[in-house]
Amino acid sequence: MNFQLKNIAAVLAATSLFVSCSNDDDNGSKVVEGAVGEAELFFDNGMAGDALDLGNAYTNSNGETVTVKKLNYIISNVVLIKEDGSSFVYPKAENYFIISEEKGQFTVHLENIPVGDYKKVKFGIGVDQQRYLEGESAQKSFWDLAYANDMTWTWSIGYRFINFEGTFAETSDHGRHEELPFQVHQGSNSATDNYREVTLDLPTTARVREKELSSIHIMSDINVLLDGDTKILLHDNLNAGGTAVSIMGGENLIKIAQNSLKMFKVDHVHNGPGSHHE
Amino acid sequence: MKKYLLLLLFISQFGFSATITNIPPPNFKHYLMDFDDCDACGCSASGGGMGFSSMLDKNFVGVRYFNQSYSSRDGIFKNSPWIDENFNTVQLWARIPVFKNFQISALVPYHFHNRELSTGRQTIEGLGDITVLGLYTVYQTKKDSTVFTHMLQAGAGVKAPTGKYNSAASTGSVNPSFQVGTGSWDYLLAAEYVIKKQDLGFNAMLNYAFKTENDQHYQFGNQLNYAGTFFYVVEREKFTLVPQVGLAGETYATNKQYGEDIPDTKGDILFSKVGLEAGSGKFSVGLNAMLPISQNLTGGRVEANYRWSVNLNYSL
Amino acid sequence: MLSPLLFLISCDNKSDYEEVNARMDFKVPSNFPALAQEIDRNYPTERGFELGRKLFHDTRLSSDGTVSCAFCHEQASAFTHHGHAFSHGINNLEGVRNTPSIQNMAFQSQYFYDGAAVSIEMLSIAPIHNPVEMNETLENIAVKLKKDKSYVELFSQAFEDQEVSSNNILKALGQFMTMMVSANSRYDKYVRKEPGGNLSEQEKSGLELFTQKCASCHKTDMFTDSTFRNNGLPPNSKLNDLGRETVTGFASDRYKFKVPSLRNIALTAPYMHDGRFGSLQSVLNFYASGVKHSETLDPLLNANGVLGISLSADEKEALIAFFQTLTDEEYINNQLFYFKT
Repeated sequence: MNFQLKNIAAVLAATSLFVSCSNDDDNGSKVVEGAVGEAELFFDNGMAGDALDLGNAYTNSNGETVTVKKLNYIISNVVLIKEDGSSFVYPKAENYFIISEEKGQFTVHLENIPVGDYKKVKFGIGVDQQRYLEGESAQKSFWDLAYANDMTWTWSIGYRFINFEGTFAETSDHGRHEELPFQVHQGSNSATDNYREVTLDLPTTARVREKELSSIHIMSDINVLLDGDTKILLHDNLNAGGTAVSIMGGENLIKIAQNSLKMFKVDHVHNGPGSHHE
Repeated sequence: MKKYLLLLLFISQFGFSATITNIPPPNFKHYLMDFDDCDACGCSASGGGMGFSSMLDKNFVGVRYFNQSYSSRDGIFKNSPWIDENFNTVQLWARIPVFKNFQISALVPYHFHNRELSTGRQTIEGLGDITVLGLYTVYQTKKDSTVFTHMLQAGAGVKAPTGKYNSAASTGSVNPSFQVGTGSWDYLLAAEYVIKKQDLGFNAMLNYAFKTENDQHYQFGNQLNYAGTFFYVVEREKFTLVPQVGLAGETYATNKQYGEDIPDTKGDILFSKVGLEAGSGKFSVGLNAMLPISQNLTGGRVEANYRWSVNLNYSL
Repeated sequence: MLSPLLFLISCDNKSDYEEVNARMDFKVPSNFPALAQEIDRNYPTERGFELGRKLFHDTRLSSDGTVSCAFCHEQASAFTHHGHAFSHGINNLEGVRNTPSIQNMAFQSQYFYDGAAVSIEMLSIAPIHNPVEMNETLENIAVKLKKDKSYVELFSQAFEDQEVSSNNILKALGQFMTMMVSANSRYDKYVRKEPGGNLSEQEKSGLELFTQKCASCHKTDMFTDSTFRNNGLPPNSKLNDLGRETVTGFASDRYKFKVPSLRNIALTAPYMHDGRFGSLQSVLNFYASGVKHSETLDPLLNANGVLGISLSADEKEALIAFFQTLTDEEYINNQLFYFKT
């Protein structure tokens, strides 16, 4: 009698342990029409597969050793695309963001995204010409935000799509072994439209759900700007005095725009109620 | 005595599979079959341990501590820093015989893990996944006087999601196993074969875990564990020693979320292992260490450094 | 005691806005080419225009409070800087280009000699930020203006969001400039056959010569085709102003400057992007015999082996007489653009 009771008690105890742990609540998987969730694009900056650290030196395949002091860029016109090709275009008025390495601004936060399964993300690097021509009426506070992040030109009015600055030394025998400053300011001007858009595949599906955050972790490769499909040697772009390099116009920006198409790729996607990236 | 030893060895080999501790079977009165359902590298999730009592008394209680050291790359870049991850488990286990040739064993782990991410120290602790396993002796050499004795055991079991799985704990790092539980019901199959001649024996063990999807729609990949161990029984009047050496390996299939494969989560590893157990009267102690020989875990982003364990058993 | 006051205030606000901020009347003169800016995006309203005019004359737009837009853009000289080749901005710092006229801005798609701006709303950013002109930022200006009640009121009446913001400062200036249309010179009245549109024989002869020899670049009644050209001016060796190349970065744009409108030309001496010619006579002498060859020299000034435009002394006189007819007295005396500071 005792034995039986003990056994029964033991079995019951064991069962309750199991039962309390199993959870049939399946509120995460359903896609409810009309519901919205959040997503973010987290930009993790790098140079040819190594992490970008401001102040560190990197040598590219052009033989130039570059020390990056500043890297900011404008991301805009974000679109999330589903497997069937249908897409969600984030509201234009809020669809302009600034990524800044020095300020630790790496995240594009998106709200009120229709729940669903997204397989690609598309976005632009810089400000599209159409938006720019709409002038201040359309851009409003984005000009102020860009100005505060050194992403505007005021001598030739426009936005800097990429602000990439630092110093460089030459490792080949050009007869120079000093650190010279360089500035690469990518942007459009009234003659050339250098705005470009890229569409990236997501390695796993971004599942936007209510009360959840889908985090798309993007790796950038800044090296491709000067050392991409087309090579741009800083040495070849020295000013008349040979004291610095300023790449802000002309053919170079067209090359950089082309190179920048390979600047981004999605490393991985986190789904679920997990925490944001820092 | 030898027969019992044999049985012990046999049993201890059983849960051995690569789980967290991968403790070599044999030995002696209490075998720590460390049957640890190690999910994707790190296997901290279940860390089960199967223990069998001595032949003198099949009922026993034991406690064991084991430590696993891993390094993982904290970041997505080639030059992202490698951080150390320390997985610690304290385990209680008991063994209950049900009827002739059939035993049930249960494992209750408690985990406390830590690691230093670039964003700060992260710790996780709590009850792990409880494992219950049933084993049947399929064949056993009866005659005492044969040169070689054999034993074959097979069984099945289940691991319950008593340990909490929280995706946030492993978000932001490359190691998906920094958890105390898998959050899923997992099902196990196991088989073990021991061959012995006088004092020297060899134990071969194989087991396979079918993992299911948890309520956060994450599913760890199925896992195959295997081991081969040589052991030698040194029997004296007042005590017995069993030194042992061998190899153990683990293979993990790809993890999935919402049924979709997650890249770079499968892996495999091969360890060399060495250990010693000593017993006297109702008590026994064991010490064991494992070092990796070759590995490729989570796409090369996690590396196992070593594992070691110590245990104390008391037969009832 | 307070509640009746609140009642009054809350009642007035909305109706004030609707009542007083009427749209202004912008018309495209019949002899003008089409608009080049989308003025509907920022259509001039009475309050917006007034605000823009007030800002245009306000020295607080400069960092040390000494320079306003009107300082260099003087109405009597068709909004250029009378007699100055280069202007001096704050701290007496000198610029490197001659102050261009502000007139008919809504009919232009490119601004400044090098096309640094394409939007009538955005162009004010350049002089405001230029360290040798006003050396200020829009953000700072907004801070200064917020302390002035008259501005706070004007902004709230002029714009729906009622904010004293960078955005609204630029829009107000844009509205002001949109209304600055100069279309009533004697020439205009002649072309539109309006009373007062009489040209003398010499002036008519000048017009004909102009059409033959100058209108290929100075096209339409706007007197420009808004392109950038190198007209053969030898570069100033001290400045080496690259012109359009500064904006586009293309060597093929080197030393090219925007073809300016010739309206009110009699009032806007000195001439050219660096103000090197003090009189219209010098300008025509240059075109006749001073044009220098360079890689980007405009082909129109290098036709049939002849550099420049051949002009006899009589022809030059006729042209100069014609140029006088482009002066719009109404424009330079229009009280609408005047603001007493």
